[in-house]
Amino acid sequence: MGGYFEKMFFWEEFLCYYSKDKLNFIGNSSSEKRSENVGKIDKLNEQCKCTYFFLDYDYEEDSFECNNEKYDLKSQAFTFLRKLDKSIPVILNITSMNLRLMGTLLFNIKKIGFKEVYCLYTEPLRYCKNIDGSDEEEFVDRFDLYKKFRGIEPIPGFLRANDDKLDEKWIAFLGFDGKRVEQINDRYDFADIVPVITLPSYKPGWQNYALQENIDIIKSVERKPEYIIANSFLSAYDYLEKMKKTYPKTYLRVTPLGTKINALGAILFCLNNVHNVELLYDNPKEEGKISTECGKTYIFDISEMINQ
Amino acid sequence: MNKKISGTPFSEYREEQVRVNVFDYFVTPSFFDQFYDTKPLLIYGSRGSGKTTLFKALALSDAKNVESYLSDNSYIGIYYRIDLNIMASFCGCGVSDDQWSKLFAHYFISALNYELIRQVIDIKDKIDFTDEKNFSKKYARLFSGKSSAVSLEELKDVIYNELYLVREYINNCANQEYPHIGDFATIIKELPSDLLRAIRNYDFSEKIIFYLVDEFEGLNDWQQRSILSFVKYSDDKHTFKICMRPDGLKSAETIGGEFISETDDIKSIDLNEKILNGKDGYYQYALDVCKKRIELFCNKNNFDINNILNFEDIFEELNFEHEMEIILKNRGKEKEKEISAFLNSIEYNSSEVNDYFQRNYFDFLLFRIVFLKKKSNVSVEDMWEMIKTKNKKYDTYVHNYKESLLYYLYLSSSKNKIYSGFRTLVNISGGTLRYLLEICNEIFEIAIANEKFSYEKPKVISYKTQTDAIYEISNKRVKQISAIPEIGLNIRTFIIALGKICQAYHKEERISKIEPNHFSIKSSNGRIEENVRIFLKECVTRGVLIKCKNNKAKNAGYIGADEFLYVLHPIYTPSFQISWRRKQKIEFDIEEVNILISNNTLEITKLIKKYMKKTNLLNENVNLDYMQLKFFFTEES
Repeated sequence: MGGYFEKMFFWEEFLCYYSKDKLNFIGNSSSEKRSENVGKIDKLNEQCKCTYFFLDYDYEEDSFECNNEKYDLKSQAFTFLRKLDKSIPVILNITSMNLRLMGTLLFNIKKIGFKEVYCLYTEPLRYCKNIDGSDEEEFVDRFDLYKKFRGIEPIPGFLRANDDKLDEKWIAFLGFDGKRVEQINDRYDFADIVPVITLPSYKPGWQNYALQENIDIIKSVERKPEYIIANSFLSAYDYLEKMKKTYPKTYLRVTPLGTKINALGAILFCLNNVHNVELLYDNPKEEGKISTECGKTYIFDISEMINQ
Repeated sequence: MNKKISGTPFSEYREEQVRVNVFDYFVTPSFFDQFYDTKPLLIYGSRGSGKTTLFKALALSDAKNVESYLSDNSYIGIYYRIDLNIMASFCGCGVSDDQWSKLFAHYFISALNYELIRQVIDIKDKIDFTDEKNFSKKYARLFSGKSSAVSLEELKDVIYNELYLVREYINNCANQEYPHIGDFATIIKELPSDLLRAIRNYDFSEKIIFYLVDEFEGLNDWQQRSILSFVKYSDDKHTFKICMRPDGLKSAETIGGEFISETDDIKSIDLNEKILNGKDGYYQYALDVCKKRIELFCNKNNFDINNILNFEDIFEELNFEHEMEIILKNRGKEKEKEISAFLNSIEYNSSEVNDYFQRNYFDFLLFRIVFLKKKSNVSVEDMWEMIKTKNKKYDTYVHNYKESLLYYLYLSSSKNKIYSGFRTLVNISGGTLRYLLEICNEIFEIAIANEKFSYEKPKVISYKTQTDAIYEISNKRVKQISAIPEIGLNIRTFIIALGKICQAYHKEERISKIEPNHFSIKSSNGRIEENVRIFLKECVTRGVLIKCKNNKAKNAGYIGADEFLYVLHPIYTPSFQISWRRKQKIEFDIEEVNILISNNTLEITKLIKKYMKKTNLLNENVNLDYMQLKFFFTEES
């Protein structure tokens, strides 16, 4: 384990714990029930003055809209966040937030120097895509969660390069959608692949979906998959830190296709390690609902980590 | 003593996996001398065809012995692999296209020469670099506009800083100023010649720098044009060799709007064509590659290489008669009924004919084809005569339909096609060396596990093992057909649908098309829509389809909307139980192609059924499961 302590609260605990009088809440628009913002804001308003910002991300234009103002993701996310008072804690509802948007916000949050930063995440209770695929769906994968992708492109703020041509290791946090890993590997053809699966997963047995859907790539590598905890960003962070220490002269490319919480850990790690670590992502477009119903809601205090 | 051996001679079948020096595995192909040409070269090759290995064989960074490399070669190869992640980031931020173009050019030239300087620093102890101070000072200023450097190491840091500043700008374009752009035009023109002149020994002044640029297809069109602008101005001190996947060139223009011409500016090589050129070109090359690997493996594990028979002989090979025997085993009664039923239906069931066909089932199948295809002026008696006397016409029919009938029999009896013999493995790999190595790896792994194959006492590997391995790899490859990120899952759906349509023809009694596995497109207005063009281009780039010139226009009035044929890569053919040989094509309407690429599974299924109806298979219990592999039917079962 590294030098950080994972500060995680259940939603109800956070409501009791939070004692400041103000809070900035940033969420995104989504049709998924678990990313619902209004109810949470209402609860927070019982404790403090909660100012909310709903971001509507446009995948085609790579921009987001908030309060009828449009912001280019690459060049204006900083401008948007700078309008906020950095001494007021900020909470990001990352549940259904596009990773591209999430990563950019965190990059700029770090740059601006927000003192107190929380991330809120609600687990899915079940995924609603093709689990019991019928014959008509013969051509569709069981977990065909995303149909369109921007393609491989750095999340704004995360562009890095292997200038010294170090040996590379591709650390892939595997999700349910096995085709994504194949797509990325089709472009890069990595020699050294480290498949990582969540265990324990959100629900017992879900790690088997990840194993099944990624079985080809797991079989093709010369090592067993590694494991991190699904609902722990610190588990992901510490794992990457361990890899960096174990392979100091290796260029690590990290692809977080698993849980959003693990992706949070990967993003924070990349933010804190600008040399020889790169986030490699395929930027999918969310279309419609991916999951139904809500599981547990967690709040992660990432203040210490993001201000390293 | 039993030794624990790790892997097979073919375990490392991707260039990136090869952990020992690439030269150890390298087998020089016959056309390799074309790579030494000082003219810029565009090299096209599908994934796994060996492009990167060939480049690495030229690169200084991969030289096994640097002194020998410097003494023996008239060039210095600098390998640079385009990183898709970086190149995709040169956009947005409210910056104009012109500014991105300049920034990209500056970045690209800096990255190339950073690699060059880094390589020279690595060999500094072996070379006599004169006037390092002036050289470093000049180029530090050209790269950065202000910095000074007195050594190559400092110059390297200056260039690194330029690269870093560009990336920092891209990461922080809201807050960073547009970075300084170096004098990239002067740098690329003068740095190679200055560098070569500055090194006294190893005849550097006579050498030329090869910039070996890999993965060119990952760039978008304006980026490719930018690099082609540099390519056009190669000279006797530096030139470019650019590798990409088939159809990876998005534009043959430079930034200035000039076209790159094959005769004046560049040469291009199609690796697949080169490798497959000549009757046994690829076969011999593939054999040499495999033998080399066996040799290295034996040396590494202290096996006597003489234990391994002639490599080709390790693979049991069945001939046509053997395969027929296997397919027809235990089908005596079935054949009997089939022959009698058919002869009765055409009212030609004499005992002589019936008996003959009972003993010569293959001839019966031929006879049936001839009958089903018969022209009005040919009588049944003539057909029988042809079969009985085995005249020239008979020979022609055998030549045309022999293989097709094999596939027909396998499919109609629901047995898996047998694949055996090294030549078959080579054919199925379709000119992609990586696939051949992957298949060999799988074969040896299965043989070791199931047949107790040992390198110390090797024995012939059975056709069953070879067949199992081929299906394993073929099915895996089908599953791995990836999506085009921007437009979704269409490629795999398309290939599965194409495979099923081809299979329908293979299963047809009268074999209206001989072993189709490729298609052309006909359009009433002679045009192909842009979305189809883009889709097919992606399929070719990804090595799923092979594109060839369509030389056989049907007639003068035929409007070939597309002058090309699109062939399913042979590696996928076992998965659909269809032939890998290029015989007859299917002609799709443009509307049909639109359906096939549409991802609309309902419409696609309808289209497949239409072709099944054409081939009289519609009454069959249509299994639309693309996982073709049923449990292998062995002769013991």
